Amino acid sequence: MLFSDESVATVINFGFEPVWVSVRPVPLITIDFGNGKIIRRTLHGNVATYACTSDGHVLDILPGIYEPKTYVDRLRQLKLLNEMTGGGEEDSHNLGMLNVYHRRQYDELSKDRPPLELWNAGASIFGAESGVRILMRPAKRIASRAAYANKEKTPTKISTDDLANWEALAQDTAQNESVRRLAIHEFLKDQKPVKPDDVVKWLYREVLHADLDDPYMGLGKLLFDTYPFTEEDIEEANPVVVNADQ
Amino acid sequence: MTRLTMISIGLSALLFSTGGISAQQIKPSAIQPAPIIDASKMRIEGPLKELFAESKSAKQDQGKNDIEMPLKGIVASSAPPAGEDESKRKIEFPIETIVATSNSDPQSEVVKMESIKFLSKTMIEAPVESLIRRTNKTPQDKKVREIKQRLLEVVEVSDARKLDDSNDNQDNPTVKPGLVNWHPDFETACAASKKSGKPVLLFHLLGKLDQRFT
Repeated sequence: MLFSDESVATVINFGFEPVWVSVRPVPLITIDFGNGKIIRRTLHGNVATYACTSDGHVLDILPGIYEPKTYVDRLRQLKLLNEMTGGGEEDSHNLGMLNVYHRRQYDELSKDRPPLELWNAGASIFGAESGVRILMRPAKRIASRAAYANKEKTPTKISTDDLANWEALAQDTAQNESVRRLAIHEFLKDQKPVKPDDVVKWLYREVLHADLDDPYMGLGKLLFDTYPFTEEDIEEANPVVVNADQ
Repeated sequence: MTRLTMISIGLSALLFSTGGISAQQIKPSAIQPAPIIDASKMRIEGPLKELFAESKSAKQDQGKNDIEMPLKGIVASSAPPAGEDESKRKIEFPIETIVATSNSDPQSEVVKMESIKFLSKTMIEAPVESLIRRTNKTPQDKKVREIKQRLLEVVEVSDARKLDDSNDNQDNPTVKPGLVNWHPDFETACAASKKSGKPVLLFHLLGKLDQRFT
C-alpha cells in the first residue's frame, strides 16, 4: 500500500494534516472456481488525493494511484502551491494566483509538455531562506528526476506478476500526470473556491470513469450486454416484495 | 672511651654532616640482631598439648550428632506436626480485605478505606505527590502531554473505526492504514490545519483505508 511506504508517510506526516474519507463501499469481485478455490479482488485506482486550505477549499487534485517516488514529488509541489497561494489566507490575490497556476498548468499539459515546476526562489544555497517566494518554471529538471527515479526503482530481477504490476502502476502514473491532470486543471482554472464535496462526483464520473451515482459504477454495459441471464440476475439482486395480506 | 668508639662517632658525624645517609634511611631490619633459633618453640608446650588433646576427644563425642533435649523441646513447641496447624489454612484478615476490595464494587469507598489501613504503602505520600505535580508543570511535560493527548485521540479514532467495522462484512478484515497519522474526519483536519499552517491532505477512496479490500 502507498501509505505504508516510509518516504510517503514521512512527507505526509510532516507536511500535511492528513485525513481519508470513503466516498462509497468498495466493489468486490469474487470468482469461485468451483474446486474450492475462490479469489477476491477490488477495482484499483479509484482514489484521489486533494490538497486543501484550512478552510477546506481545494488547491489541487492528484487523481488515481501513483508510484511512490512521483507521488512524493507531487506532494512537495502541492505544499509549495499552498505557500504560493498564501498558506490558507484566502483573499482575491491568492485566489487569483491559484487560477493562474491551474491555467498555466493546463496550457503546458494541453501542449503535451510536462507540468511546470514550483520552486522556492527565496531559498539560498546556504540553507538560510530570505523569504518564501514561489515561482513556476519549466519542468525539465523535475521530469528528468522522476524519470531517473523510475529507472532506479525498477528492479532488475522480479517475477513476471510483479513486473506486470509495476508496469501497470507506472502506466497509471503517466496517465494520471497527463490526461487526468489536464482535465482537473481545465476544470479548476476558472473556478471560484470549491470544496471536495462539490467536485467529488464530477471527478469520479469524468476523470476516473467510476460514476458514484451508478450502482454498477459505469460497468453495467460491459457486464450485461453480452450476458444471457441479465434479467434474472437483476431480479435476484432486487427482489420484488409481495405483501402477504394481499 | 676507647679508640674504636671514638672512630665510630667521628665517622657517624661525618656521614650526617655530608648528608650521605639520613636517619630515616636506616632500615630497622638493618639494625636487628641476627636471628637466634629458639629450640623450645619447636615443641608443643604443656597447656597447649592438653588443649589439643581435649579437642581431639571432642571430635570423638558422638553425642553431638543428636539433638539435645532443650533444643528438641523448642522445635516441638514452635512447629506443630504437619496437618495439625489449622490456622495456616485460613486467609488472614488484612489479605482477606485486600482480595475483597479488588473484587468488590469500585465505588465502595468504605471497603477501600479498610484496605488502605493495611496498605499505606500503596498510597502516594504527600511529598512525592507534590513533586509529581510540580514536574508536570514544566514546558517539556506540557509538550509531552500534548503528544500523549494526540496519540490518545488517534487510538480513540482507530478504536471507533474498529467498532464501525464490526458491522461490516467479516470477509473484509481490518488492517493498519499505513504509517500515516490520519485525522478522524475532514473537519478535524481543517481545524488542525488552521493551527499548524499545513495544508490538508484529503484522500478519497472507495471502501475504507483500514480494510483489506479497498
